[in-house]
Formats: sequence, structure tokens, C-alpha cells
Amino acid sequence: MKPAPLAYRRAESVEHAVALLGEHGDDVRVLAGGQSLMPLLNMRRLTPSMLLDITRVPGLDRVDGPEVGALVTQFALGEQPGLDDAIGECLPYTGHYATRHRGTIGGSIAFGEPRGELPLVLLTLGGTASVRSVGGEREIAAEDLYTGAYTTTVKTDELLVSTRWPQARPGEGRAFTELAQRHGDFTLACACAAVTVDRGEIVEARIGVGAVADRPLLVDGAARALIGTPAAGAGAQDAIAAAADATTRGIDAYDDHHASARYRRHLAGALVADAARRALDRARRA
Amino acid sequence: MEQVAATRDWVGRSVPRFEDDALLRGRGRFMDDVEPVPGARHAAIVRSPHAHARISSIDCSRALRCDGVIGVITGDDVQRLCKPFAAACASPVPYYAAAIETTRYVGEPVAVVVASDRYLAEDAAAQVDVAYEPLAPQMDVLEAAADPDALVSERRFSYGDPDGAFEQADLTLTHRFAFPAWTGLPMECYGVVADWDPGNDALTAWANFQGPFTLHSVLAAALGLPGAKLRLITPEHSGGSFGIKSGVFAYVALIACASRILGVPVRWTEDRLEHLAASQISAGRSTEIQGAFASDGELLGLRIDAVDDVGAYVRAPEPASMYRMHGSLNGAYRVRNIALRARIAMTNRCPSALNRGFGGPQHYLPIEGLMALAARKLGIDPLELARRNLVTEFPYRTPSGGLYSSGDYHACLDEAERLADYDERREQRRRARAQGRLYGIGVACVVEPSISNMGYVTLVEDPETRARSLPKSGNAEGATLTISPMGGIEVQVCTTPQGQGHATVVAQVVADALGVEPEQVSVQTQTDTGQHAWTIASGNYSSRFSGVGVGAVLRAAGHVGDKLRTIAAHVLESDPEEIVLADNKAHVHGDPASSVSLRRLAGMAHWNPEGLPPGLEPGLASTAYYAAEELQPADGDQITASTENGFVCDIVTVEVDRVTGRAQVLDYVSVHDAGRLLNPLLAEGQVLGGFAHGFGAAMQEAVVYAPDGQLRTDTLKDYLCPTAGDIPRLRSAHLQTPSPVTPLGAKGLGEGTTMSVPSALHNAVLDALERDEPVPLPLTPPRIWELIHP
Repeated sequence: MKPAPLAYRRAESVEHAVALLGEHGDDVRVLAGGQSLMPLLNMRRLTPSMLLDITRVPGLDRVDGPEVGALVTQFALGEQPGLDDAIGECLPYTGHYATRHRGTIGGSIAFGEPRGELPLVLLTLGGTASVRSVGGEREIAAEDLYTGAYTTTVKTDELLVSTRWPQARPGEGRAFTELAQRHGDFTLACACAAVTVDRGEIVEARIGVGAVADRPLLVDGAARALIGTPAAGAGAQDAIAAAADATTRGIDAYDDHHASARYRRHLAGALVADAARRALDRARRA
Repeated sequence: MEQVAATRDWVGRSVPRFEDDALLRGRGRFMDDVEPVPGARHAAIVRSPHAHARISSIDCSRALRCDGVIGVITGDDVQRLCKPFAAACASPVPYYAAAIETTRYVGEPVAVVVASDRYLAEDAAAQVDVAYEPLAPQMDVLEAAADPDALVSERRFSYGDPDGAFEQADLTLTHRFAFPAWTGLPMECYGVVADWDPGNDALTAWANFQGPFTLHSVLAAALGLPGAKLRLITPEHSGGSFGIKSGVFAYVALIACASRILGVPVRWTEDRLEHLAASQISAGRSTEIQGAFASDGELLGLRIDAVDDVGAYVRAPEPASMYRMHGSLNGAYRVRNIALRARIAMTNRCPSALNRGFGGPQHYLPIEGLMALAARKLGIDPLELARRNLVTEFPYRTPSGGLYSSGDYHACLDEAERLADYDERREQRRRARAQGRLYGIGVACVVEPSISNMGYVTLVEDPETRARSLPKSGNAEGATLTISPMGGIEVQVCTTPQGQGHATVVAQVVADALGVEPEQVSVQTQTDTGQHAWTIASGNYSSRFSGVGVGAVLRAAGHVGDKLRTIAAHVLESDPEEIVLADNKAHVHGDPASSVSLRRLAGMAHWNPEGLPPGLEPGLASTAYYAAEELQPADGDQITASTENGFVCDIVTVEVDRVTGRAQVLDYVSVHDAGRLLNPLLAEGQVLGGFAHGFGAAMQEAVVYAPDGQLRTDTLKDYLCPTAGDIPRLRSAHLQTPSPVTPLGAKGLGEGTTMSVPSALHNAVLDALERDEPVPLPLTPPRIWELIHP
């Protein structure tokens, strides 16, 4: 369990990092927090020719409103005052207390673990990732970020420098939930809901599920089941049940030795119901 | 035993562990910390990616050109230098330390690369070119049992009149239970340093081996060495074993071959990927059990048809998983009519052997599961059904030859019932069910054997075949106690503790025996087969320490104590029988003022032999051996498989979430009778550790292979050992019926909860689901949900 030979470079600045990526990008792995990367290197499941260490790049560890620098740790984000409900609920499930002190937000988003909590929340909240190359900076919507398990539309010469997590608007409530067999483990399924209420009616909804497919999914059918329904009472309960049902029926899931696809689809629906219910409660109070 | 004067009664107290200070300060000396020989080079092992494949060629030329490489050895070298490892029964396939021509499980060693460091060794290992021709793997143990080439052994046993019992039964039940393979997952993986001495054709090996030292003989024979030329040394500290580290012996042979061929000492430290794939797992078992019951709930007869999956090879001490419990085929019950068909079969999995509970969890799941299913059919409460069937009179000779020396099973059950507030639990269940909730109560009653009879595994042979071999029996241990010229007391044991706290208990025992404080007793637990008083049974398994480990220490202390009294009597002009050892002194009984210090007595024995009583040997040391009582060789198909048997009664309450399938433990009560507790604090630690191990097997853990033989649980993200936060609170209690057999009245207790917990949790979930068929383990949310929503 020792990494294969690789070159190690430490970037002094974002400019330095993107210059190195421009030069060597095809076979480089960026070290931000290392909580997923280092075990994979040690197991030789990843054998890049270069490790680009950005951990000492100044300026990437700041939170500025919705803008979260790539090197902000999962722990540090969790300590932010006035943290978003969905982010606040997902972070305790992100790895373990110890790993959250090194694991970074940028690393989690760029790594693209299909069972990851943060990619699901970024997607559900309609967030974006900012990436920079020698040629300049561009924004990628979370919906366009993932192309499969551990694969993203971030190009090999680009460095993810920050992510943007849109803040809740008046009347919007959000929630996250998941079920793992063991605390801190990869989840069997997770769900995130963002629901906006106006004058007693759900006017907007975004529902996402994670860990059922090769990337986090937005479940449009579940959102549609909620929009236009009453925000309280039997009507809301029926809408939430319909959203859960739309999730279970509407998504494809995979089988593995932990759980069947049938279970994952069912669980995703149940978690959507739970997240939507709590998001709606918050929306009514927001 | 020798008469010893107990003055302070350290035994029986919750003395905190002397071991903890070094461990908690990070000053443990584990296998990878010790550098016992200079210049050791580092090994990386090339392993089979196939569950079953013919090796058509191995080309090491690229690897040999890599930086830092000393050399490469392959299975051909192992075959040239070694004989197959022996086991208690003939095997269809010889077992070597590396694959010979054919690989039989994913992770099996194929070649060893030795280089100047581990990084370079792993780099070069990736350059060893092995050509494989994949073969069909066998992953189904029942199919394997039906295949003469994969069936290792089949024996049928009958006690009493099983057919008659089934004829007169009011209720007969037949169920199949599967107990998946799981493991102990020690924090520290295997480690070996091998140093072949070509001048003497001898091997010195350091390894975090845990015994049983029968495997020293297996290893020496495989290496073609007379026993005295295999010096095996264990480090002071262990990062846990739970049985799993018995299997390191196979890697000692492999690394020894590398050292021998390459002419350098070689170190190999196993990583977690290697450990999960290719260290050791428990034997999975498939059991069809039939029970014959009278309408009042009396268990009249059992028919057990069990198949153990020992994996790719028969690794000693297998096939012992099957026979370890043979003295307790009846479990905790009075049933006298029992038929057993015992089969051992090979599949393309990692070899099995010791894992805490060794055969017990697999044995009790079908019996206790049957009791729970029968209780449902009979309309009798499970606790009441157990109560009607428990053994009541002691000593009790079981149908298969086991001896339950003592106990009060009903008192334990009553205590568990009281502690669990059983009637209130049942009332809560009634209310929960009325609300549509899935609420269940599970009961398990198990007899926990300890101090295995070395002869039990010979049951794998029929009595005629067995009669042709040397009889095997007993379980012996050695210990050495020395008092230095300045009065320091040192004890050497060969019980290879893996975290249990043997040093603390030995110090307590010696403190009582010699009238000193436990802190004065220095206990050495590193074992060196070239220097120490070990026996074939030495080591850390079958919960044998508190009986035979302590027995040997007590005997050595008795000899030295006798000598101290003899010298003191000479000095004080009294009789040895009148001398009391207390408070670091020897004094005349009834006259504490007439005394001489321990230090002075030690000084005399070393410095002034002329001042000793005439004829007395100088020095103050004793090496003593102690053999457990009551262990005879097998008589026909009867065997006293273990010296002692404790008792465990568990009551667990669970609620299953209908939506997620998650079973949550609401309450867990475990009542034990392990005889006299030598150190209640350590006893509780053993109960909790066994509980966590059993909880993992019941709820989360299993070694899972795909049908093509690939290992699914190949990292810790897929092998779900519970963490501290996952484990529910355990409420335990101890009754103490002293053993009449062991020196201090203790019975082993390291494995009981590992045996009981999977059964109790199974039965609780069964009850929650109100099911009439067994529930498959582990009881994960997806599996339970599939049962609720078929």
C-alpha cells in the first residue's frame, strides 16, 4: 500500500498551479485535502504521473457569502455562522470528524464521488463551480459538472478554485438527509430538497438524490409533484407522498452487494419524503 | 495445587491494566516497530487476481531489473524448499505458502519480491508478469460438499436415539441457516521478519503470531526443520488478533523461503488490502437443522447437517471450526438425542481458521434460531421455552461427551429476565404492534466452552483411523517465575496476549501467592520458542488464559514460595509450614514481628548459598507446567472438547423501521456465569469486545465474494466492521459459580458474547418481523427491507 512513483509539485499560487496544469494536465492529480486521494494513491488505484499540491496556495480558504474557496475544509464550512440548512445537515455525514478537518469543499466537488453528499447539495441548490486555466476563468453549473462516477467537465488544464452555493431566498426552505449502514460511511442513498412557499402554495421546488446512480440526480418528477400544491395540510402530505413515489418510479439505480436497485429506489423515495417534509416546514417559517 | 497463602486477595479485584500506560502514550512496541536484526530487506507479495486459475508462466525478468530489487521467489521455490502444511485431516489439495501451478483464491501469494524498501518492492511486484488461464471457481459450499474433489471430510455422529425422538415428537421443524464468513479485523495486520541462518540451517522468525503453538510444529515440518531450529519470537505488544493472527504462520514460511534463497533477512508487513483478501476469515457454515419437540416444549431431538466452508485450503487448525463445539452439540439444553452430519468442503475463498468464538457463533445460530421458531409454533414464550429445556443438574455430561462442571443456568436466565424487565418489554411489544410497529424480543442461551482439548479435532477421523495415531488430549501451559538478587519478581508466560491484559492478571495472581504488590511483578509476554517454557498448546485461543495460563503461573509461584518459606524458616528458626508470605516479608504465623524481608531472602539465595538450609538449591526460580484437568483423548465419538463451560443468557429488544429496514437495538442485556472473575474490569472488557465482534457479524459484517470469486469486501469502505458509535449500550451482569476444575475457579469468557449475540439479534429481528423462516445474516437494512417488502 505505497503509491507508485510520481512527481510531486507544490503550487505557490493559483497562477502557478494552472501553469503547471497547462503544462502537465493530462496525468496530474490535484491534492487539496487528500482524504479520498491519498488512500487511492496508496492502493495504487490511481497512478498519476504528478501530484500537484495546492494546499498552501493562498487565498483559496475563504468563505465570502455564497462563495466558498476550494481549500475551505468541510469542518470550517460547518463552523460558518448562519450556515445553510442543507449544507449544515450534510456536513456531519461527510466522512468523519477527523477527515473533515482536512477534507476540502473544492476537493469533494472536483472528485465527483457519486455517493458524496456535497455534490448532491450543490446540484440541488443550483450551485456552480468556478474553474480557472491559463486562458481564464469560467463557471460550470452543477447540473453540467458531472459526466459519470469521478468524472467531471473540469478540463485537465483547469483548477477548481471556488464553488457558489446560492443562499435561500425568502420563503425557501432546504433540508438534507441520508441513510448509511455505518456512520460516516458511503451512504446507501441521500436526498436533498429545496422548496419555496408563497402565499400558502409551493411555487418552486428542487429535489435531488445521491448514491443511487453514477452521479447525483435532480428528480424533476418529484419537484413537479410538489409545485402548485398547498404548503400545508393533507394537500401537502399528498404532494410529498407523490414526490416520493415519483422518485422511486423515476430514477434508475444500481445493484451491489450492499443493496438492490429496488431498495435504493425505494429508499431514495423515502428520503425525499423526509427531506421535502422538513424543507417545507422551514419554508413555511422562512 | 500447592498451598499458597493469600494475604491481600488481589485476585478478584478490578485492577486497572498495567499494559495501558505504554499503549495510551503511543509507546507500544508492535511488530513493525521492532528491528530485531539489522539489514532486513522488504518484501512485497504478488497475489492472484483470479479466484481460480492455472499459472502458465511467471516472468520475473522485468522485476529483477527494477531499482533496489534483491530478488524474486515464486511458488516453484516454495515447493522446492517446503513440504505442504499439515492439517488434522487429509486434504484433496496440498497447501503451500504460495500457489503451486494453480491459484485458488483472490489474493493468494504467487511470488515474493524483495527490495531495499517497500516502495521499490511494490514497484517491482507490479512488473512480475504472470500469465493465468482462468478456471471456473467454486463459490457455493453446498455444491462443493457434493463434489468429491472439494469435499474434505464427512462424518456422521449419533447420540441417544434421534430417530425415536422424531417419531414421538408433537412438532418437528426443519430450517436452513447460513452463517457468513467474517473476520476479526485487528488494527495491526500481519508482520514477519525472517532471518535464515545458512551456517546452521536454522530459522529465526519474528511474527505477531498468537498461537496455538501446534502451528509451530506445522511450520517447522513444512520447512523441514527440527523444531529446535525454528526459533519463533513474538513482539511485546499486539494490535489485536481475535484469532486471525494464527494464520500468520503461513507467511512466516513464505518469507523464510525468501530469506533462505536470497541470503538476507526479510521483513514483510501486511497492508490492509492484503489483510482483507488473504489473511484469514472464519469458516462460513450452512446448516440444515431439524428439531423434535413435545407439545409442552421439551426439545426431544436434534438432527444437524452442517457444512463448513474452509476456503481454498485446509489451513490448520481447521477443520477444527466444526469440532470445537462438539462437546456442546446440545447447547445449553437437556436434549439427549442428537444426530450430526459434519462435512468440510473447500471453495475458492480465503482459507478459514480461528476467529473469536471459533465455531460457536456458527453452532448456536441454528440451535437458538430453531428454539425461537419453535417457540412461535408452540405458542410458548421463548424465554419460557429455554427455561423448560435448560440443563439443571451439575456436573452434567453431555451426550457427545462434554462436561458442564458447574453453574446455575436458571439463575442466569432469571437475572436476565429481571435486568431486561422482560414482562414490561413484552407489554411494550404488544403496544407497539398494535400501532403497526415492528418490535421484537430475542433470546439466546449459550454454553461458552473454554480451554480446548487438543484432541477434539481428531474427531474428524473415524475411531478406527484415529486409533492408529498418537492419542491427543489436554491443554498445557508453562511459565517461569524468577526472583532476582534484589528481590525483583519476573514472570515469563507464553500465552501471547493480544490485548486481554494477561500481564495485569498474572501480577495479581503472583502478588497473592508471594505476598507482594502487583506493581512489583514484572510480566514478560514476548514469547521466544528458543528460550521460554512453551507447550504445544501455548498461545492465546479458546479463552484458556484464566485456567491454564494462570495455572502454570500459580504453580511456578508455588514452587518459589515454598522455597522462600524454607529459607525463611531456616533464618527464623521455625517450620516452613509456619511461615506466612505477606507485605514483602516472610513471618512466622501469629508472630509478625518475627520476620525477614523478601529482599533479604532473595539476597541469600543468590549471594550466600552457604547460608541456605543444608541441601537446598541456590537461586530462586521455577519453571512449571500445568495441564488442564478433565481432558481425555476422544473415546469413540465422545469428547470432552473443553475443560470448562460458562453460560451466557442474552435478551435483546429491537425495533425495525418498516420504511428503511433498519433494525435498531433498543436494549441489550447479557448475563454471564464465567466462574470466579479474576479481574472484573478485564472480564467486562472481554464481554464488551465479544459483544462488538458478535454485533458486527449479526448486523453489518460479512466477507462477500461475487459469483466469479472476486472479493467484494476488499477495502474498509465495503467491509463494514462496526465503529464505537454504531455499537449499542450493553447492560451486563455476572454470576460467579466457581469452577471446580480450574486452579482459581475461573472459566474462560472471551468469546461468549460473540457466540450469543448473532443468535439473539437474529431472534429479535425474527420476532419483530413475526417470521416463520430464518432471517439471513447480516441483518442489514436492505436485507430486512427485502423481507418486509418481498
